[in-house]
Amino acid sequence: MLLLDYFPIFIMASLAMAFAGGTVLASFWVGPRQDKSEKLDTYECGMPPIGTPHERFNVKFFLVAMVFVIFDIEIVFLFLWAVIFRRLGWFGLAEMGIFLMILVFALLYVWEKGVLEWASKAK
Amino acid sequence: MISLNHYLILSAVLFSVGALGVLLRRNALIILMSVELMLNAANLAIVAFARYPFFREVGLAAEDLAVAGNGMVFVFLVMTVAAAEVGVGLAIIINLYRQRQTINIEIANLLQG
Amino acid sequence: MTSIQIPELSFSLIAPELILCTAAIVILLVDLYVKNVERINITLLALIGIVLAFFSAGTLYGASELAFSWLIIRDDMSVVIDQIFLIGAALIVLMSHHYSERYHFPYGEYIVLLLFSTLGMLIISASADLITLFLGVELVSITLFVLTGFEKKSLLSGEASLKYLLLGAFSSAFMVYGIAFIFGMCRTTNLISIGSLLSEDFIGSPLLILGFALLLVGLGFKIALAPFHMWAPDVYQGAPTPITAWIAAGSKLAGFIALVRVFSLPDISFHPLARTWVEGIWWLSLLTMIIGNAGALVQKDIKRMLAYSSIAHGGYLSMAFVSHNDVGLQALLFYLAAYLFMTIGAFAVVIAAGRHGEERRRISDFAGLAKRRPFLAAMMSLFLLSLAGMPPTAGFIGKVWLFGSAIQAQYYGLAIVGILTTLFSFYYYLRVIVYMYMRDEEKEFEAEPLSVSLTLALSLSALGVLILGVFPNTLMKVITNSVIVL
Repeated sequence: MLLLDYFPIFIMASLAMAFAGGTVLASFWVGPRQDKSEKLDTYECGMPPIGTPHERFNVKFFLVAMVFVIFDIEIVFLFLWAVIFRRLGWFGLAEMGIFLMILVFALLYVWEKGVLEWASKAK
Repeated sequence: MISLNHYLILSAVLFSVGALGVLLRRNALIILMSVELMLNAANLAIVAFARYPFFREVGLAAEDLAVAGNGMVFVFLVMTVAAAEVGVGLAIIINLYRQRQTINIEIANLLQG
Repeated sequence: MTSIQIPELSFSLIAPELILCTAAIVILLVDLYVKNVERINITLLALIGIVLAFFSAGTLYGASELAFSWLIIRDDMSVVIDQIFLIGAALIVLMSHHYSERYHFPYGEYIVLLLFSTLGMLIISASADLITLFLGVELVSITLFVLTGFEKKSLLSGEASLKYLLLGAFSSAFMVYGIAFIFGMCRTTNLISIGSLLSEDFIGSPLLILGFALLLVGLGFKIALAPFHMWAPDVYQGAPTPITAWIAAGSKLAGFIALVRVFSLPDISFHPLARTWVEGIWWLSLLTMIIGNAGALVQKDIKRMLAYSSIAHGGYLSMAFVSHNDVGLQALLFYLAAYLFMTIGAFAVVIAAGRHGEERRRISDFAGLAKRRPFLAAMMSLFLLSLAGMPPTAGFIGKVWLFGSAIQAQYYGLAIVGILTTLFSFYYYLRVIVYMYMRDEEKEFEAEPLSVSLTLALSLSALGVLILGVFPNTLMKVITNSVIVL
């Protein structure tokens, strides 16, 4: 009785499985097969890949990632501040100015050390 | 209904996974990631505790909001510290890699008594 | 739209911190934009900042206020501690001036990081909230991770900084998790509110005890208490020697001050729950004294030997939390000051005895030092005897006071272990002195002339050790007053 209620679901599930399995099998039987080397490439079109996927990254990526992580976090504090910006008034503006000024010093340091220039070597 | 306990159990599980990662893995980067997991488990616990008054059905008092604010600001600060730790950690790991071409901590064993 | 009530900001109460922070930023900018700046100028700038901060801290005696919506506490204890930190920082700057010339560090950045780590210590000593405490501890740790790895070419330095980073970050995770539970149970992170909550009829739940235990584990890592001391010898050995001295003296001092702030507020410490962590610290103290002294016996490297000796001192110092009375706290503060001078002094001698590429690392390298460099050998003997606890040095007074507090609180067992391990410790301290005075040197070390900065650092530390040993009353009086105010 109770099981009978689930009968439509059972029908539905078997139809879905039959369809999924059927299409895969059908393409296996019916479809033409060409085992050419292009088919086995990583990408079907575009440049042929060079080297292995485990390529070593330029250390610049890590430097930029580090700088990003540090400066990214400041947004958290800016967000909190922005929510109540109007209610804080001039005091809030001054405080955030000091906070950002300290961060600007950090940015100047990063800049002067040449981390922001992609091509040239760091000083 | 998800209660405070659910959050605490999840955070305990995450913390244990992180601690096991630190103790069992040998790759310095993965250990650093495990430490981040531990810090975030602690963050989850703090946020859950901060939201705790909101789980109750009675109305919120002003002091509940103050507690929530206290906890959440702490979470932001912990996130900042974690970011700084990761920045420094990456630099140290890159330096180690440049010296030895590996970041396996078992190979770094020059310092012994 | 209602305007928000802005808490009262009393910047004069954090003047030392502000001055130190400004000095660090000024040095950063000078180093960036002034071409070919002489190292001596950077050193002088740093020293000016430290001295200004020292005197501005001095004007704050007797303040005893809570500021910045109870995030900062400015009591006499914090002023005394700040001044001790600043003296230590000045000594380390002097040592670094000499050491960085030997190894060509990027000196400006080095000094900036050193000043920021000192700033973290000042924040710890003035924190009345777990949030400020945590931020201070992290500021100290993160800057020290970088400083430990500053010898970029050295394999030892790189490895030490990695170990320090991984274990330091691991321990901070414990700290944050502990603070999470304390926050959850007390619904505040303010130490004073937590104290008054605990002193009311607040039944300690298991989660609260867990929170304090995790916090103790986290701080235990930072000050290298016994089961959590494994990183210390490696980091001490690998770090550049001035930084080793700063980790051994400054960072350890900061960790103990953090413990004082958390576990010794009167309201917290006299709560029935206090028995739980007093018992915990009892075991940690016992283990630390035994493991530290036993480890130091077998070391061949001088920096590792001093590392184990510093671990052992962590054990003596944590006795103050067990004895758990005013006398213990006063003894702790006094011994921390004495410990700072003798540790920094000992490492300064290690720097002075070496030269570029030829550090005297092994204890046997110190053989015959007395003939070749009598001044250095005499200094080293003074610092080692003070570490061992010989009268009339500062170490003796500190140890007597500490063990006395344990006896007063009737922890006879712990006091006896302390005295016995101290007697043991004479063996390995005297061994170095025997090498220096009674053995002939195995290979020749070419002498590097003693620079002015290093001579200053050495003589100031020696002066500190002797003054605190012969005339301890001045500091004692200040400390006794400051603890009573607390």
